[in-house]
Amino acid sequence: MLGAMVVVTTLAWWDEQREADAALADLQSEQSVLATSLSEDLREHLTEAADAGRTDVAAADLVDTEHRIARTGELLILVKAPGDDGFHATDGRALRSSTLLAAFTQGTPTLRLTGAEAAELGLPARTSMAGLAHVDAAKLGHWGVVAVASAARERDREKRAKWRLVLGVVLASGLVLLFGGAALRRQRKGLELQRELAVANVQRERDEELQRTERVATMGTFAMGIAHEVSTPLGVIVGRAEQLATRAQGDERTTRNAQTILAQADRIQHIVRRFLDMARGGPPSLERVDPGQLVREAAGSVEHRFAKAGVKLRVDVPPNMPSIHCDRDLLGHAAINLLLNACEACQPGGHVELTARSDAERVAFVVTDDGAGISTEAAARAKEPFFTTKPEGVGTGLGLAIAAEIVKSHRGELTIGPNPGGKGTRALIEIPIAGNSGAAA
Amino acid sequence: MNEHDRPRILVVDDQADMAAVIADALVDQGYVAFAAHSGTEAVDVLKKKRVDAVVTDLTMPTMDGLDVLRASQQLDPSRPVILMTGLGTIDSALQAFEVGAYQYLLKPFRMDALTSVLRNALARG
Repeated sequence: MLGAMVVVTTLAWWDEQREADAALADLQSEQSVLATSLSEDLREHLTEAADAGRTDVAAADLVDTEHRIARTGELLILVKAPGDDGFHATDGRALRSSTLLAAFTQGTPTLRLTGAEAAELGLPARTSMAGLAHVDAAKLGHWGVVAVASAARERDREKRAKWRLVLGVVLASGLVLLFGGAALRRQRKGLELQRELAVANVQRERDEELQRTERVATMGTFAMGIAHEVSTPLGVIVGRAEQLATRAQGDERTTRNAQTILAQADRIQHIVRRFLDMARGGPPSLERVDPGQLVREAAGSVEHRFAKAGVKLRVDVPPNMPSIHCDRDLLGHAAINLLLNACEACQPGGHVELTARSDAERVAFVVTDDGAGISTEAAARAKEPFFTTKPEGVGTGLGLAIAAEIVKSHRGELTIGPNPGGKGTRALIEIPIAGNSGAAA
Repeated sequence: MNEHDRPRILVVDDQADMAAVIADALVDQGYVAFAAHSGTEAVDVLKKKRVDAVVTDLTMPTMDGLDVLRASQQLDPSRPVILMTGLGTIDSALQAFEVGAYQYLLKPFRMDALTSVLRNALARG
């Protein structure tokens, strides 16, 4: 932008300078024409005087006749008499100028006078242009006429034009900068909005994903609980119906009734199985899992929630932890539940720490926060379904119950209580190590 | 076959009804059956009586089926242990396989499925 301004200004300046030079050249040639034309007048005067037999013509006499052309401060008409070192002005002044005299001697037709030289002649101290003409008057000698015009007007006009030019460029550039800046600001604001929208979209998608996995975990945990609770009574029913059928041999009606009981028990079994498959989105899968990876994945799923709440999350996992045998999604979800609880318990600027530790028998996941803390009574009831200390509509009271249920299904234990290391709450998940429970390596 | 020759089975389930129905069915099939209602009780029986095979529920409070399995193996590594499990804990049962369980049965099961597994298990020993 600045470069363009400099180029435009330079070009326009150069053009203006050329015009100004041309105007000065015109002024100079005008003086030359004027001097030549006046020299013709002078020649006539001198011829008349010679014809009248006069031999003592004074320069002052001749100058008088040209007086009407000269304009004070602008145009000076000078006459040089033969043998004279100075010049006679039309206003009667006798002037000396070495520059004019030198030009006269050399026969130069035009001349540019500096401000100082012009001032010597009584003109404004600005550049002036002079035109010189010679008159050879035979017996009356060699005369000269000089027309000197001050270029003050041209110079003023040139100065004004250059100012106009600079002002124009500055004004135009200012307008371009003003409107360009506004457009740029608007564009930047648009981009900023677009970026914010994209970030909000990503956060919304991650929230939806989190909610979806929460639903899956909730349903899966319930389905598991139901399947477990139902299987034993069904087993009793099936066993007793079989015994009944065996003992009622010969009694067709009782046998048929016992078979009906068995068929209905089968049906219940199938319903529970379908419910479990649907809730879990597939069969449950135990696999060998690196606790460190599980912790990092859980932290990754909730980091946007922490960023939004202004709570700092620190993850601390030692390398080379023994692997555990678990359902990665379910146990990960238990950890996520604990992290979200900790995050919600904290004020902005609060801290949550997720660490993993292990000893010979078990791996422990610990979530600590420096938030509101938990009373002994609330800690005792924390794992009950629908128990919540959060305001109505914020918590379902199922998060910890589900986490506890998931941990239990892994033969582990979930403990909630005050943070022994200071204020806030500590949640502890302990899971037996895969190798210790005898699972094949 | 006198009582001493008949196979002796320990049935472990914290649900007394379940333990009873299985024990009854086994007696009907000619086995000698003991019922225990907790892991601790089961270990007591294992220590005091001759038991040829154990049928235990997997999910029980305090001492679960895996603990009973371990205790039985400690006392007699060749004694077959059959685990019973509900749908939600199949994975734990699979894990128990790796620990050394002979077989697992998905609740509810038909009694002839249990006696068939038991016959094979005892024939192995």
